Amino acid sequence: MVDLIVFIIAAIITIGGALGVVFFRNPVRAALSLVATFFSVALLFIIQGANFLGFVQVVVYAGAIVVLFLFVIMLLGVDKAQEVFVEPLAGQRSLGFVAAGTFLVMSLSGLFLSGPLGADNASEDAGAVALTGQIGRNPIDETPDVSQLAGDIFSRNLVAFQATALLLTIATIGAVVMVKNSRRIDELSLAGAGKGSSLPVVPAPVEKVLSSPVESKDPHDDPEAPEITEHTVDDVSQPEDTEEFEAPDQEDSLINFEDLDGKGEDDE
Amino acid sequence: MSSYIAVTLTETWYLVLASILFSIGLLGVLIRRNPLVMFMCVELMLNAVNVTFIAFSTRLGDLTGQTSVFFILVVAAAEVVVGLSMVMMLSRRNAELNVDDLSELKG
Repeated sequence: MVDLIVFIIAAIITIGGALGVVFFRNPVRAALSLVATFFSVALLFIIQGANFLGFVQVVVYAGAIVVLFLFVIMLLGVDKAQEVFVEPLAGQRSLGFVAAGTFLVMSLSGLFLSGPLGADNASEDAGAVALTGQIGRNPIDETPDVSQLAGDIFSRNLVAFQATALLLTIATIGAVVMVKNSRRIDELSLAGAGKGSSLPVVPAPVEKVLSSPVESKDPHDDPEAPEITEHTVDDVSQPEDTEEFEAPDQEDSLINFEDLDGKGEDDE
Repeated sequence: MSSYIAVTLTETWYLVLASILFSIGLLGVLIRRNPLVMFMCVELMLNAVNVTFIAFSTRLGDLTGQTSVFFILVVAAAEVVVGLSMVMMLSRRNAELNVDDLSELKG
């Protein structure tokens, strides 16, 4: 009985928060409704006995992911720019409603008309076995939730655990690499604007990075290919001082494109 | 008082709630044009899947559902990190973030 009341409260907050995320025009208000949704989903976890996952949901989702979202929203200044609700395709908004409604009807009918909870199954276990195939392999005991989860993750799913650790490392390195290259672009455009020459929006290091691997295949066909790469260098960096900004990029990039040019010439 | 109420909280309720949450997230991804808000709606869908996993874990008495939710949480966090850094890179071209304009930036 108490479970039912708590579930209804959590369900109302969840759906209200989800509708707020979708229909608030201000991204900051959407992020705050998302926090409400995450809190109520954590409440749903705790009702069912998954205490550790409820806490982790609050700490990771509401405490880290939404804070990241708000950081990016505030950093980019998107909170002041209101979103324009103009449809580029005619009738896209109504088609979106129809698609989401169709999906909801499909999932609910799949839930009630067939499957493990539907009227087709004679016994409750039939659907569950068909769904998982390993019922009873990993039963929930009366021991605390954290120790059971730890025993499962660190014994049966150890490889998956190590893989997620690797994934987090890659994500962190990827974020640093992506933001770092953007900073070089800003420095180059500032240097070009200071000298009075109008540089294009796409800067030189990106062009050189993109052109060198393509140009390295040209020595097979065109002996004038190294001259083409030198022309791109001369065309973009007209003052001599801006060449200083190119060398750090070649040192910092993971692939050394001069080696690629050298290999192309050796293959002849 | 409780004998008059025949309604019990079975796991079907959680699955219905998860379906509704997923549909709302799907609606948000289809309607909104700000990539940050679209990302938030994807997180809504992931949460709906988490609720489904916990509901089935409770129903079957199996711990595999909770382990799956743990890993989904970790992967969602990594995905948010990479996605937000991409959005920050895209925002350096123009301050207005609009997916329809961004889809025309080819090459």
